[in-house]
Amino acid sequence: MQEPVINSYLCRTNMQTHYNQLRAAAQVVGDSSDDAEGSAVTSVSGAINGTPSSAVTLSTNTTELKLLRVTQTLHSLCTDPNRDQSKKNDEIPTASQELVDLLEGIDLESLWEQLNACLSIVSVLEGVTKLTEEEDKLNTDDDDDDDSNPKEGKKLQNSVAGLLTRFLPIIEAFFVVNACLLDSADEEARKGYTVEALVGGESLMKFIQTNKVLLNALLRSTPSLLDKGLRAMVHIPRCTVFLDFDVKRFWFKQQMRKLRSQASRRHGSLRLAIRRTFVFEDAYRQLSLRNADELRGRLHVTFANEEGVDAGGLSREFFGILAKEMFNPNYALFTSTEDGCTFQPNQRSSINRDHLDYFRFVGRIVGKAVADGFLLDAHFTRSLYKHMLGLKVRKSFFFLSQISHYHSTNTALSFILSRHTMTCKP
Amino acid sequence: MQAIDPDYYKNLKMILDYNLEDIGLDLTFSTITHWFGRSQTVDLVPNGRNIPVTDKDKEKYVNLVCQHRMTTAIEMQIKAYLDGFYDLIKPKLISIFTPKELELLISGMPEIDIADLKKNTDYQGYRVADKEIVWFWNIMFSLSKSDKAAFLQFVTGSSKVPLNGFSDLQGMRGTQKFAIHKASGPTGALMSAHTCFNSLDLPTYSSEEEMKEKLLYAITEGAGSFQFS
Repeated sequence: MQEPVINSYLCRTNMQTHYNQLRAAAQVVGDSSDDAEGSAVTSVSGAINGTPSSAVTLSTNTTELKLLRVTQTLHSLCTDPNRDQSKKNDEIPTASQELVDLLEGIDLESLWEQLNACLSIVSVLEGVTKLTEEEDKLNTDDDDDDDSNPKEGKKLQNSVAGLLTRFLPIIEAFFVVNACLLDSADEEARKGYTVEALVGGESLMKFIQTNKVLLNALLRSTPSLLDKGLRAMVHIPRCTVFLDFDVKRFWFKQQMRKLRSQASRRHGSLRLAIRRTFVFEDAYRQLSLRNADELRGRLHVTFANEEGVDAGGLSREFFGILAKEMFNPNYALFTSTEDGCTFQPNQRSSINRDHLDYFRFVGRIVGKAVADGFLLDAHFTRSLYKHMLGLKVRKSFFFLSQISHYHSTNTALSFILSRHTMTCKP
Repeated sequence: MQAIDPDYYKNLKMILDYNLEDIGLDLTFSTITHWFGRSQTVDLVPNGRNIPVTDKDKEKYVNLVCQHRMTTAIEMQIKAYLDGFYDLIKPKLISIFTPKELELLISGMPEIDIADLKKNTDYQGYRVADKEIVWFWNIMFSLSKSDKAAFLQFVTGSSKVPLNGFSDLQGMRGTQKFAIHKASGPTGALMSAHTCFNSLDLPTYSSEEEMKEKLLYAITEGAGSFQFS
């Protein structure tokens, strides 16, 4: 009965201590900002004048590290201990009003301004050394994990990321302080991660927007940040917009790998015995017996009367066959648009009595392929992709997506044209 | 809609083009679905079967009918498909992607042969030797794999490369080669695309750098806000 009271009392005293420490640390960083951050500014500017290597050797100021630790500790202290611990890493932490007031008491704004100044110089540095930027871009755009020219790409990536790493503690501290949800915000706003529900609000968004290139470079060199300090970037929908595709995909693949090994441990691998002539039916029947968790395990496909160990090749073949079969008109599951490129569910699919089970099966196949990183030569209509992402499909979108009825009438054509141009204007 | 059911499309177009009285159509805000011999009346708005459609609100009617055909009619199918997909991948995880990125995630980065695309391109308002066209192809050859994919999505609406090469590129009315039209806008304007016709409206530019910048802007920044295709 007394215990929680004492605990919370202890918490409070601790917090007081931490508050003092934080203030001290912030004060130090703030006071010495002219030398610490300022010197960083000068040395970085110096780097522009042709000696980038010296900039890389910049070491992080210990006060900055201290600040990061203190903010982190403060945050974990202020987090409601009743909150489900297992979920801790999956969501954005919430900040109580008390914490917000605490943090507001310390003037961190000037520190963030310094940070912004430093980062803008780093971007200038990147912009000025054109070679770096282009090479960096090359590296960025390389879509597959196997880098075609790893030597060059890595070197340049390091020089940029090395510079950035020097500012990492402050960037992380910025996220710790700003990228958390306000306890006071209402449920709806918190669920939707609206700007109002975030401590940082617009300034957080502005920071991410201005520094998106740098943040992406940072995340590319240290992807684990997305599970730690910078996890707001993947959890807040407004932030994900600023992430590059390859960064997102890398994070996504890691999440999938984690889930797969968890499931494999629990349920073993997903073994399918398939007859070549009945690939679709056999897969359908065998998958329908398993639950979602079992499906996540490592896939092993064997074809009847064939010897072979599935080291990926048979799975690839299996998905290749399914990607064709699911559009087989005999199943009446999908219809193609007139250009024959994209597919969407057939509204008359119910001629196939088990059609909904089949759709579920096809959804699982697509999901399994995406989860395990197999590619499917299957292109769906944009509206189906939107459904899959949980985006609202707008009426006019449908209207126009598959060739509008209007497309020969003048009014609509001009409407379409105006829509086209609209999309291309900033 | 035309892509899915050309006859139906023709009927709807007729409704829009002519006075309802002239073509003697008695419509209500409902539609009849044919289910292999059986037919069933579905209201498009509450009590729709008793609300007549007038020339004034026939656009709304067409809109509703389309929406019905495109979503409501396949709602169950989509739901079942999504249930299966979400068995493997939680909505929260996948929602970090945009529709175009999802397509690339499922189908992979396409191998795009720019030389083949160039060979199968029609020009309108431009000639092959024009400097804009020369610049354009220079830029295209210099693009990264993912930018090429983004360009293909921008122009055709999908990252799919035709099996037999770009000579076989399909559009609204069968084979429709990639076409570059001269846009009438001012020099340096942004380019736009018509995914139905696989065509690109290319304004004039003062330099190759400017064209490249605008092209990259159109295919990358445009991607997020591109609601049309």
